[in-house]
Amino acid sequence: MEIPNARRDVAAEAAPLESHRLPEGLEMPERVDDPVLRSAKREGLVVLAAWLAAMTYTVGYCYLHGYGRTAESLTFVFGFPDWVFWGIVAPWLVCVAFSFYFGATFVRDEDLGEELPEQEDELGLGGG
Amino acid sequence: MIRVAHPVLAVSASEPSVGYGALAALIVFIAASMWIGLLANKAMQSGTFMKGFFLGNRGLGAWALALTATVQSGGTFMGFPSLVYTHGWIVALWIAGYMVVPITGFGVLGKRMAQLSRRTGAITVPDLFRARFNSPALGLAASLFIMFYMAFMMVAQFKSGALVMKLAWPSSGTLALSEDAPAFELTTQKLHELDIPAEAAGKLTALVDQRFSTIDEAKATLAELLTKDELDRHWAKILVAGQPIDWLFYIGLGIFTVTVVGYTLLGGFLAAVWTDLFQSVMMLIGVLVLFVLAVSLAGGMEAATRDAVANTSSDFAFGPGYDPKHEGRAYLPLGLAFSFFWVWVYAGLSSPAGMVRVMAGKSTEVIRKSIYLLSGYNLLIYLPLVVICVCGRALIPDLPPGKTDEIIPRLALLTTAKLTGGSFIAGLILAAPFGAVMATVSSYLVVLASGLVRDVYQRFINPEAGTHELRRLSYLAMVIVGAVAVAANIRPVDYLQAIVVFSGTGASATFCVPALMLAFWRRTTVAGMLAAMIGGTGTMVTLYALGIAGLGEETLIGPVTKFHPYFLLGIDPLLWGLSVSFAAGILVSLCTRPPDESLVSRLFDAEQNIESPSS
Repeated sequence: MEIPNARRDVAAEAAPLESHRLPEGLEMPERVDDPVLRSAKREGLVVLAAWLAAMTYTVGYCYLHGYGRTAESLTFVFGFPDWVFWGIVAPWLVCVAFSFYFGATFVRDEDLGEELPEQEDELGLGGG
Repeated sequence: MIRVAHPVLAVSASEPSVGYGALAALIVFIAASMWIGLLANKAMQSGTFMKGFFLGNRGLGAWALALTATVQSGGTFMGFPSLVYTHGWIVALWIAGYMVVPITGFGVLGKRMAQLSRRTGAITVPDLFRARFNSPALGLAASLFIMFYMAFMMVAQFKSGALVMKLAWPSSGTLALSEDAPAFELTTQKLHELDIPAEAAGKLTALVDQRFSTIDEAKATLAELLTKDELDRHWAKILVAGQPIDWLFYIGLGIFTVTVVGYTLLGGFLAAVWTDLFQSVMMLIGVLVLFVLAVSLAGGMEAATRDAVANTSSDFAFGPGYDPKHEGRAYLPLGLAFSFFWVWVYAGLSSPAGMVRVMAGKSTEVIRKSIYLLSGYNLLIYLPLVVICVCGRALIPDLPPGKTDEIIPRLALLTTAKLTGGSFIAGLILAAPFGAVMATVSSYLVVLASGLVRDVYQRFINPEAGTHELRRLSYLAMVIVGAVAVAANIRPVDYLQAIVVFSGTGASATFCVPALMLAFWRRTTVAGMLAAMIGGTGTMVTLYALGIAGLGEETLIGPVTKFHPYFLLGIDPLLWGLSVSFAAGILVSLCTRPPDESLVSRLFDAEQNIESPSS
């Protein structure tokens, strides 16, 4: 069952309409970003932070603990070489958990709008 | 769990035979794909032809979107195991970027792409580029760039498909998934079958199992073994016997092409997506079955690593990876480890085939569910594959460098040998790459045909074209693309995996920054978009040209291949491509006249604002 608008109604009430303005001086001060644009920006920034955090931790940890060692120093965690488990498997599990949180609760459902009829030119502005 | 005693290592020395299981599994795959094509054909009848055929009427559900938009192509599925087998645990770090691919792939551009494509009525990515800026030239440029990269990918994928078909042939006696099969190699069996006088045949025994990279090289060696008269008389027969790219390859190519073009013609975009979903599920089953079998046969993961290290060196368990040729090559130094966290993320985020699928998503609910479905899927595919191939190094320690692509098929045969119905299980595992290749080709056929018909013909040649004509042209475009890919494979391309990587990262460097600017930055101009695309492509092509031409210093990093880029400062070209694209896009946009406010407002402002700007 698809109920795309149910969550959006709640969200629309909660989100202040004036929350996001672009700094360019050329634009009218009354402008309010489209709600999808607003939530997509917010979610995009969180994703960017998650990617940076995952990359910094994983590459950093693996480089410090997984490079140029001798066979004697090798220990295992759940069958994985120690650095693989703590540097890759563990953050991967964290990312899976975060993805569930992000997809299930953080991303806001929105109305994607009506489809333009195919006969009409894009935006009705011509130029084709 | 099945614990088998260790007659295993002996098996590796002999050539495993594929048997009828693989062929049966492939036939099942082909039949299932055709059936899916028929289903898709029925499903797309509801809307207009163009939207149904090229976008599935924007009806993709979460599973279809999650498991098909960013999952790797067949080429990478075949190449990745070989990398783990060759370089060891460090390849887990190489692929680790996939932990965030589900969030980045859907969480950044997903919603906005889906929304903008609806608001503009766009069916293809170039359609969207064109409509967002009301610029036909930009749409055409995007279409040409997409076709440029996809053409590379298509030719490589057709070769993969034909190779897998050939491999599955029960009497082929080879497991050659490998791209670097020699141009000439005379096996003992072929020598016995060779219809030439015994005296001449006797001289040829010296040649048996030698691998020649060119025909001329083989002929030169033959000239030393045979008299000139013998060589002149028997050369044609010897050549046929010694060429591994034989009729099986062409039969494979034929069956592959007819199948994939056939079901894509039937069901268009939906057929491509649904077969992709089907193969993704089969691949998951194959990987998990093989994981259980391989780990139990190797005596557990820890034992597998210890055996693999004993078979190679301690480098197999650590970075920067095992160097099988002992030439001082560092497979994954810090710069490249860092680079690949970008490569997978940005290639997934902005691949044209992936963006189209997001545009076809049914709702934002579908997009957000895809994030966690794909997240679970990636975890279950990539980490087990690494473990499987580490077990592979423990169980089959001695695959020569040119044959490491065969590790998965060989493990499949080895681990199922003593099971009831093992041949069919092995067949299913072997069929997974074939399914992956079919799915990739199918989705590219749709994108290429939509580029030719929608972005070029309908936009520039005949905007008045009716449904009947568009339908006929779409079918014709797919057949032509298939025929061109077959023609390009009459002499099969080399460096398959490297071409796949070039095509994927090149498209990313070209489209990532423009797609982000289009979705989020009001000030973006047509000139800025063009500059970002040209900057990205220009950088990639330049760095690859430098690498292939052998200019610049030899860096001894990354995989061994002639089709390699120049790693400026030890970093993958994609990062340079993205940087140049970013700088060019921003600077040129700021230096050109701002876009028409009414055009931007329709796509960026809340609707109540557009209707009454003073409110």
